[in-house]
Parts: sequence; structure tokens; C-alpha cells
Amino acid sequence: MEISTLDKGIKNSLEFVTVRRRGYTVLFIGDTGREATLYSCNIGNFEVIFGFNDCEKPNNDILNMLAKSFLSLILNKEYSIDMERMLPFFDRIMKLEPLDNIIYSLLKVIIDSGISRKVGFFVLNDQLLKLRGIVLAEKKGDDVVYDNLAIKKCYIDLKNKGRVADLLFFEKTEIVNTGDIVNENFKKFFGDQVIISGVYNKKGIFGAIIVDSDSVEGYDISHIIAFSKILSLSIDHSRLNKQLSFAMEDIAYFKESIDVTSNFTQMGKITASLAHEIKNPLVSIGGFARRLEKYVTDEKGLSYLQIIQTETARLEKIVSDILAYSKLFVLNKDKVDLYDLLSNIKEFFSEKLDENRIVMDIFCEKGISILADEKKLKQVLINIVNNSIQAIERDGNICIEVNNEKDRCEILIKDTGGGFPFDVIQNAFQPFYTTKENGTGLGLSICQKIVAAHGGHMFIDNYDNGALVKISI
Amino acid sequence: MIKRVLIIDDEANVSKLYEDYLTENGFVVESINNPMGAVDKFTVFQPDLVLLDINMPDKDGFTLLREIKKVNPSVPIYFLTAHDEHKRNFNSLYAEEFILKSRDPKVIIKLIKNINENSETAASC
Repeated sequence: MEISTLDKGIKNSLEFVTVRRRGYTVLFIGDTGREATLYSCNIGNFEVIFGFNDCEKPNNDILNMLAKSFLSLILNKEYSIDMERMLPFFDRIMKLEPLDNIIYSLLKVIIDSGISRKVGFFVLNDQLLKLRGIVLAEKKGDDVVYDNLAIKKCYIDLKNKGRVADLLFFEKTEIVNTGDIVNENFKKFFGDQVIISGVYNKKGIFGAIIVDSDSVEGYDISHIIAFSKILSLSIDHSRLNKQLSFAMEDIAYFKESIDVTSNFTQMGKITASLAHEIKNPLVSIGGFARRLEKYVTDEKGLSYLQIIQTETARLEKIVSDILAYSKLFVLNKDKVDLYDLLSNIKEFFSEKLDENRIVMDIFCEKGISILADEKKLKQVLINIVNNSIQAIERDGNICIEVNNEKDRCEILIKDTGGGFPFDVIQNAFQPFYTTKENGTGLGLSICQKIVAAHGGHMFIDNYDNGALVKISI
Repeated sequence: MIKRVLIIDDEANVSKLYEDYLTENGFVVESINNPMGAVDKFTVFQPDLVLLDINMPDKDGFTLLREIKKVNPSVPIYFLTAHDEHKRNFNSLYAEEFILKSRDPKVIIKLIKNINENSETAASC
């Protein structure tokens, strides 16, 4: 029966039609705002509700025929799913919610759309070749209840490459008899017959949506396919987004470090030019203070001038340290005999060592030579030994050991000066970090820079009752 | 024999320090703080030695060195600078000496005295 052939009176007074399936609206035509008397009739799983205005109740046969006509309209077009029910699901995908939230939401949509009363999500265990239950959604009364404990004991065995395996492989969605490839728990939930629709990601089969096949209409299968495809896409979507967010984090990190580096470079340049500018005034302040000594006879005045000179000297040292640190090194590399170099250093400090009763032992075979800038390497060693002497103060030992390996040479400087405090070990190479009253905090930073310019490494640590500095070059 | 010294340095205080020191040590010294007028000053003053700063605005020491040497190549020029990194380029610059500015300018006196002694010895030979 065609709607157009309906009685004119009925046609004119029909305000709206609602088609519901298992309690959910699947189709609505007309204007709900209008006052109307409702008449309904049930056909299979469907309930068709008519809203009539100004009309006596049509007889049941007519209503029935009318209902079937509307249903045929829907069924011919393959009945559609209420988009409003889908929105929260899509929303979750778009908001990049965790995958489990998206899956829960999808199962709810399947149930809310009246496709089935029971639907589960299973994931493929590649190694065991089993589809294992992850979550089950079930309609109980008006609510959707989830289970994610008992369902985990359900599985489908795919080892024998039977129908289910084929179905997943060929991306088909069909009603299947699971037979003996499912365990007892599975049977308790779904029985022997289920609809299985694979969920895929880039690498292949990811899992499956498994729907209780009871009272699932043929056309529902296409929806199940649609849902599993949406889920497949959303898995890739969520993975891609995760990768994107990692990539963004990496970019942000590198950008930040580039900023920091360029800030440091900028700072270095500013500091260097500042240091340059300070040099000339320091020469005149110190120089005139020195000259004033000739004209001042007063003892107090002379002591003040002395202070000016000492402080100027300190400033000059800071300035030249800053310049040394910020300057690019030009290394004049040549063969350096380590035994000779270390003996030189011992000689250099001999007076100071005797004065403070410090014994310096050198363990270095004769003839070991490395390619280095001798002056700069000497500067490094002098700096380290000087630190050791200052730490020991009086009565102690400094031991310098050279281990020559195939492609590297290790110089170990150990002392008995009590070692570095923990925070010094952490910050020793930071420019301007110092624990000394008169230090610029650039000594070890410069040393490290020199060693690094040689392609080497410098480490500091504590050793027994003292400090250990290791230069690997 | 070095007797007359010209100091070219934009830092008036530094040139004053060296001027006083050298004057005290018996030299005839003049300073100029504007490098643009330095060549004229050199021509007029006719020094036996020039102490020349390197980092100066408008005209740097390297340019001035070439200009002065054009006027009189036999007058020795000592670079006097606060920045030791210039020392790297020193060899190719035709300046006779490279001196780092210091609170204690006695290095210069020592250098000049050496030159004077050598020239005396040369003259007496």
C-alpha cells in the first residue's frame, strides 16, 4: 500500500510518525509540537506510533497497513541510525579521548541503536592466536551495563585457521557458529552464534566487535560493519594523534633548547663585549692608583690605594677569565710528551708543595705522547693541581696517574683534600659557579672547554678521602 | 734613539696614564684621542715612537698603522691594546711590537730602553 493512496482524511490529520525499535526511536517524521492523539501498533521488533489530529481512531487494519508502509520505507532504504546517539561517540574520537573510552562509547551506541542487547570488544593476541575479551556491554533494563572482568576469561581460538580466522582475514562480517573454538565462558555470554566484525589498524587485525546475534536483523550487519570500520579508523586516528603529540613535544623541546642555546650565544657575545669595554677603565683605575702611591705618604691612604689595586687585579682576572671562556679556542696541536709535561707542572708547583708539605707523585711511563695544545693542556693541569693544593691546605698527597690506552689517554688527578661537596660535583663545570671566596667560577669551566676542544672528556668525583679528576683525551 | 713618543688612543685616561709615566721617565710625550687627526699630529710632532691603540671608533689601529707608515716608514710603531686576541694577527701587521695595556706600564720603558741601548751600541761601533 502506498501512502499516497491513503484516505485523504487520515492523510490530512496525520501530524507525525515515530518508528521505535526496542524502545529507541529510529525514525521520526512530522512535527512533535502539534497536539495529537497517539495510536501505535507493533510489527516485529518495531513499534510505529502515529500522531493524529482531529481524527477518529482509524481501524486497526488501516493502522497496521500504514505502519507496514512506513516500515517498508525505512527497510528499503536500510534503516538509519539516529545521529544524535552517534554524536557522543564521534565527540570522544574528535576529543582524542583514550581508546577505551571510545570503545565503551561505541558499544553503547550499538546497544542504544537497538542492534543488539549484548556486544563485546575483543583484541587479538598475536602470539596465542586468540581473540580475547576486553569489555562487554549489555542492556539491562533501561541501562547499559559494562563488564570488563568476566569477559576477559572469554576467548575465541584462531589456531586452526577456521571460519572465524578467514572472516577476519578477508574483512567480512557475518553470523558465525563459533562451535568448539570458544571456551565455556564465551558460550555463557554469547552462545554458539555471534556476529563478528574485525577491527583493523595499519598493521592488520587489531581485534573484533562481537555481537550477540539473537534478533539482529540482516540490515543491522551493515551497521556493525560501519561501526567496526569507524573503530578501526579511530584507532589509527588516536595512534596518529599520539605520534603527533610526541612529535610536537619533541619540536617544542628542541625549539626551547635552540632558544636557550641562542640565548647563551647572545649572552656570551654580550658578556665578551662587556668584558672588552671594562678592560680599558680597569687599566686606568689600577694604573693611576699605582701612580698615586708616589704622591701619597699617609699610611691609611696607601693602604686604600693597595685595596684599589688588589680589587682591580681581581676584576682584571674575572674579565680575562670571561674572555677566555667566551673565546673560541684555536688549538695549536702538537705532540706533547706527558711525562715531561707532568714533570714541568711538578716543578712549577715545587715551592708551593714544599711550603705546604704536600707530596706529589707522578705515575707516568716515559715516552707517552698525545696530540694536544701543550700550553692549554698545561693550563688545565695547573688549574686542577692548584685546586688540589688549595683543598689540601697542608700535609697531604696529590697523585697524577696516566693510563695510556689504544686510542685514548687518561690522566687521573687524585688528592687527599677531603673531596668535593655533592653540589660542587653537580655544578663544577657551570660557568661562574664557585665555592671559593676569590674565585671567578670559571676555572673548571674553562678546563672542560679546553678538554672538550681536544675531543676529550673531563669528569670529577670523590675518591677515598679526596677529589678525583679524570681527563680522557 | 727614542726621545719623542706619540700616543694614539681614544681612551683619554689610559693615554694620560702612559703619558705621565713616560714623561716621568724623561720622554717627550704627546697624546691624541681622536684617531682621525692622528696622521696630522704625527706629521707635526715627528715622534721617534708611536704607541697605537687598535680598537678605536672611526678609524682602527690597523688602518692608522698603514697611513703612518706611508708618511714615515722608519718610525717604529708599538701596538698598545687591552685585547690580547689581536696578538694572533700581529705578525702580519708590520708593527714593531705588541704590548698589552697594563696597570704597570714599565714594559714599555723596558722595551724603549732596550732599543735605545742597542742603537747606542750600534752607533758606537
